[in-house]
Amino acid sequence: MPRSRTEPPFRAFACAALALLACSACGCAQRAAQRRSALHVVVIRQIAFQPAELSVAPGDTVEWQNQDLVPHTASATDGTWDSGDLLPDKQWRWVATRAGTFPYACRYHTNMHGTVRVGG
Amino acid sequence: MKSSFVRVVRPFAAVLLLGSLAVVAGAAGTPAKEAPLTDANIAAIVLAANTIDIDNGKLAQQKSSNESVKAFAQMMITDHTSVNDKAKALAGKLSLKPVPNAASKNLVKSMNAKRSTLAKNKGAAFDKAYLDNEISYHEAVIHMLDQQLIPGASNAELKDLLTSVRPAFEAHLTHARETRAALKD
Repeated sequence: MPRSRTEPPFRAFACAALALLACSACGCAQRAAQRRSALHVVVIRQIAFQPAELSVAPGDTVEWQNQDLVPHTASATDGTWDSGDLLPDKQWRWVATRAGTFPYACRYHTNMHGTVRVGG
Repeated sequence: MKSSFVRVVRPFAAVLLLGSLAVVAGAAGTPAKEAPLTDANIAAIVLAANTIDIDNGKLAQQKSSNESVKAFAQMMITDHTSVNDKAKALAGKLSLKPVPNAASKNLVKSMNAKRSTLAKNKGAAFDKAYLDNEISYHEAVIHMLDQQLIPGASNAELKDLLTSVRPAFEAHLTHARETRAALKD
């Protein structure tokens, strides 16, 4: 009989703890899924990358959108990636697969610079 | 330095000033009256200004053998063509038919004459003359954007286009100066 008196509160506590763990795990999974699919946008406007400095997680995608009046490129300084000619109203995506700091520039407009930092 | 700047810019400034005044000649002795620019006039000036530099770039592509000059000229052709495409698209959207006025006509006439003079140069002399011309052209157009075209535009989308194109002209000016400075005198 004593057991029957203590069991309901214990069971309730256990259920609540399990539910909390489940929700927490679920939240972590959701956050992980969001990280995997995170999309960062860099707008090109008036001869500038906006934002010029961007920090992302490995696996994230960066999209450059050319909203300027003239063609541009987003070209990594170390030559590892290059959008090629990005005409007005066009966009280009790059998946940040490895950690590091990637300075880049427009090959045509040499005063246009940006940096993508991919966290480890 | 200042005298050099004045020497180069003066001819362009004079052409733009005379043209933009759009003098309305009245009876003899009547003071000249300045006609305000309409959006249709502004559209015509934008198209004319871009076309001038596209043609200058094509001339440089033909005449220059310097890689940095040719690259600059190609950028002028690409960028000014792109701006003109945008301007034409906007004019179509707004049902705005460009109407040439004294400013655009004088600009075209003056620049065509200048291009003929440029074409007589060869080799390094051409490269220097072309870049000097590009520097003064972009200085003059930026001045015109700031003083007349942007403040004069009535339509918000036209004003936005003019405002958006200004940084490109500044970048061209910087690039032209850098390319010119790299040439040996």
